Amino acid sequence: MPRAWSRITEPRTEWKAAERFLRSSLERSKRDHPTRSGFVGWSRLLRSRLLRTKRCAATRFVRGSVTRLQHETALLLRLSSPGWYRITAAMILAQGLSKRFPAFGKDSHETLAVDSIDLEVQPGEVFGLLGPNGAGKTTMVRMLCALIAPTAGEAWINGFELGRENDSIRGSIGVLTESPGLYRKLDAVTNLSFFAKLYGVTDITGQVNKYLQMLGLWDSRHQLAGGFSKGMRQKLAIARALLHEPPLVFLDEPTASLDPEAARVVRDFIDELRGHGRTIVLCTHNLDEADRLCDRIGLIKQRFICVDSPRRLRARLYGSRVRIRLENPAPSYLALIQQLPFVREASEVDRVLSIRLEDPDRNNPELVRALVAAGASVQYVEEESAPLEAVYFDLMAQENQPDKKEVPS
Amino acid sequence: MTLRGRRVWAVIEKEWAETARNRGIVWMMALIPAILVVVVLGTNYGLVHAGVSGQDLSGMDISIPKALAHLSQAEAITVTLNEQFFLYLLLIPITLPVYIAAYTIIGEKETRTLEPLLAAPVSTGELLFAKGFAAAAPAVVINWIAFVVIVVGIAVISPTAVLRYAVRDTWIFGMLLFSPLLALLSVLMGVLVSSRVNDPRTAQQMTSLFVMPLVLMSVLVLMGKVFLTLELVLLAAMITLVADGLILLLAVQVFQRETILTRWK
Repeated sequence: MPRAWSRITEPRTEWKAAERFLRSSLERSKRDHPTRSGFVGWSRLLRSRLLRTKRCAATRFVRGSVTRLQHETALLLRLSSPGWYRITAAMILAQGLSKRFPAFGKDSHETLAVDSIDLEVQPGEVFGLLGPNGAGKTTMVRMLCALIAPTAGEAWINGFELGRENDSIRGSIGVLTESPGLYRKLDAVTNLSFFAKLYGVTDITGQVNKYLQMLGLWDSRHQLAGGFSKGMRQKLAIARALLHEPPLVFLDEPTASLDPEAARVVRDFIDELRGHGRTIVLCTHNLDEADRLCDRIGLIKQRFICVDSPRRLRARLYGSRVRIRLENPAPSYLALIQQLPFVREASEVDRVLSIRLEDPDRNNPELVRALVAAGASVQYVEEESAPLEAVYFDLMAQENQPDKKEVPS
Repeated sequence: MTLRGRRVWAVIEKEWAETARNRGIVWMMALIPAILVVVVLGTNYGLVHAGVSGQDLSGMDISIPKALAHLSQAEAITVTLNEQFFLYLLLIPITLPVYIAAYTIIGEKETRTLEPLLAAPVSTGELLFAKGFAAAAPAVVINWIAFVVIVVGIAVISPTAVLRYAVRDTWIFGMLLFSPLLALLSVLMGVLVSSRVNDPRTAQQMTSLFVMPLVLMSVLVLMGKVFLTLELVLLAAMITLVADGLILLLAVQVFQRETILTRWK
């Protein structure tokens, strides 16, 4: 690369060469890393960097500086490094993100709302933020949405750097805030059209109509938002968050204070969004919702207590258990199972064997084979899983204990 | 600070759509100019008739500027009063819109629409300018309509000498240039205050204080100490234009998204 740069003598040629170089780098990246969103993020970043560098280079050329090639080369080397690829491939990459609110008035004191959070969310992932009230979920989301500035740490959202490219971040994400926040004196269409214009949507009518229909609000499109039920307001707010087709959507308690029917509609819609490959960050108190919708969840209480998939969290805390129901239970079967090397623990209650295994996916076939060979009639085998609620309370209890136990990993 | 037209216009349209739903505000904006139109035309009608019937108007305690010495007594009194009425007209757009502007940010916070708005890619400058413009423009347009109605009325009722003073360049420039800039200044101050205090009443009371220098100016005109000339109006317009820019910059600087989102309840 430096050799190619050394041939550059005149600015216009220089930038043509730079663009050629970047294009070939991007092609290479596309070939090596076929994840489309990562590639798009990277190419966007490169383009913005290129434009910025163009301006700098022009200034330096006028001044007759001889160091310009060194600068550009260093920049391009940095852009091509694996670290930069990681930044642009991840939809969210946060490192040591903290937020400290200063004291407000005589009676208050400084508050550490979020403490050194590291987070990486990949494109297409549904990430759940769980935690008690005041744990820092909303503060975390507000920081990632470039609404409030972190006091420490850094983050890249969709390839844009938090703090430096806030406007680009805001333009490329969709946010459903804690409260729907609709203009009550305006109808549904006007509410959506206003935000479509702010987000620079080109086909405003098309997009507004599409989401009104998709969320079942078409018949109420000319009604004032103030006359909507809570569920309708929430749906309208979700439509507003999606109008500009953002690749990343933040949903802050989307089903809070909704009746079960409306909550189900919203949950089904979120599930549908996941099917479309959008990245979703979901703040919720509803553990069942998080369990059903999220690929990974992060338990937060100022800092992350743990981050993992619901299934692995259960496995970490309670191990992996299976239940086997037998038609003809006998004490010999339990004894047989206990002798198997991969069985950690086994018990029998009411014709059902409860067995803790090292790795159920690998061990189950062998376990069933052993039972059948011993003459057992297996009626069914199922995974025994603790509800996420139990996981949540256990982890929170551990966190609240003065001598915290580490979560097994 | 760059202002992107499409986003600014989107906010203006939204503000107007909300204002249009609030009929009370619209009527309030139109009421004071309408009253002034009636008062001005009534006064002109009364004085013209008094002049025609040869009544002695020297009993009226009105200080007539020297510049009007060449006019008849009735004409001079009419022009002096018209000057004062026009000054009121000039000042109307800084009164009512300022109350709308004072509520603009607090209102968004109260209805919980501020967070989604701030989460959108609209800059603080665009937001504040659009809100200021949206608050000022209807009042300015209503004022222009009132001015046109008054001028047409004077043309019908009063002698040409009086009309000549009504349509002199001082008032044309005053209405077309100075009045909008003044209105923008006051609403930007309203927006500025609105983004710093979290109580609408406090915002409106503080904003009212900004009108005081302009009230002082009108008192000087009423006392006959100042006779508004084109140069004076243009100078005032230029100063106001600079002040508009400075206040907008100041408003952007002191607008703290974070404090508004996290501290205001």
